[in-house]
Amino acid sequence: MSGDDDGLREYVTSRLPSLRRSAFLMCGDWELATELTEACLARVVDGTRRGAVADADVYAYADLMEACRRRNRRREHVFVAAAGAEGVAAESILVLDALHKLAPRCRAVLVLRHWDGFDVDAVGAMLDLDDERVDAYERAGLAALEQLLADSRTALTR
Amino acid sequence: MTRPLSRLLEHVLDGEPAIGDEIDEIFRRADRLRRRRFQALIGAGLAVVAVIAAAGYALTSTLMPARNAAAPAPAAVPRATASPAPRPSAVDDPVLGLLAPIVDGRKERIYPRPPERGNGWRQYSVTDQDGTPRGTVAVAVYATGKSLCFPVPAAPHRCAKVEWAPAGVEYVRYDDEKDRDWQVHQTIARRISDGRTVALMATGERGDDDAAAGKPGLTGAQIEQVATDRRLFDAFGKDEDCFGPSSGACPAFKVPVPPAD
Repeated sequence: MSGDDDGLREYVTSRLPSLRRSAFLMCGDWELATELTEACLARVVDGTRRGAVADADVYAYADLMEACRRRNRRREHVFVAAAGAEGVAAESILVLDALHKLAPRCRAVLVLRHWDGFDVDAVGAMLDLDDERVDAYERAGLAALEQLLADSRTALTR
Repeated sequence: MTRPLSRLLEHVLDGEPAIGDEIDEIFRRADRLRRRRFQALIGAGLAVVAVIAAAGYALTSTLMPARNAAAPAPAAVPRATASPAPRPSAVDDPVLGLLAPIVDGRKERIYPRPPERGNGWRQYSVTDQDGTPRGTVAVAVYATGKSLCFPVPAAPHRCAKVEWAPAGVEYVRYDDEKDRDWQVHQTIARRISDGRTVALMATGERGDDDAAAGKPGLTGAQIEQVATDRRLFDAFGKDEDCFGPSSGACPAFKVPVPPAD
């Protein structure tokens, strides 16, 4: 990240898809995920131009997770498909539903650790948590998700 | 559950919309953010300037002395100025309106002299063009009734012989230039129609022991001219009277006006 616009454009191009997917897992709405990701990356670009961003990835994911957490309070639907998208598998709806039954911070830990593949230190920096708290959230989240998915499958097979 | 969860999440992302012009939109947003921040900075700067200006105005208006009622003292020790100092409005002070044209004609200036006025009296300072003090002018009005014994300084129990001015005004001039420390041109004039009496006195600078420096700013003839002008009687309020309740504040005249019988 040299700060020039070419380097910034390259960074934005490379990070936009993964950030938008993480945002979608957090909010369940592709349109909202796109909006939040654009706003987040605009702040990254602005902050980098000013020299106010030390680690662009940490800054971007921390900003995005916080924006998703704030938006999630007003969430009405588990899943909102993209315009023109084909049908979505029932299994995906179940996973999203289970994911969204978790606490926002717990969900953020699972998304950052198991989808984006960040290590515990990076996730702690992004969510302003110490390593033990990240581990605790992760264990609790996985257990709860497993239970929720099992309950949902049971209900579907009845 | 790490591998199963990531595999599960992959399926959730099926149907992901394609990326369009989001990249350009992100940079447009970043530019808007920069503009907004710049505008906010300008606004904050203007607000700070406005606050400082308001605080400065409030402080100066609180701490600096008022320029009107407290009456500055240019007359006491007038400063030399290249341009003529503004003269108080003749509308506000009709007495000054009568005196000023004569003083101006002598290439001198006249100003109210603190304490400049009271019930039945006014007081002024005269300076020449370079600001050198040329003494004071004092004027007072008295309700003396139907008759007045114009004093004779050398004979306290006698009445002076009066002279007459147009419009029924009797008067006596009292000029004393022998005292080098207090040269005086004074006239006492009484209007017959209402018994009002005015005393008008110009004195030079006192205590100089210098005849030239102690010369009054107005001549005896000029003092007589103003003192016998009907407009001088009307320049005071109808209820003003230096024999009234606050007579102690009236200026001291070389020849005092005696109380009415």
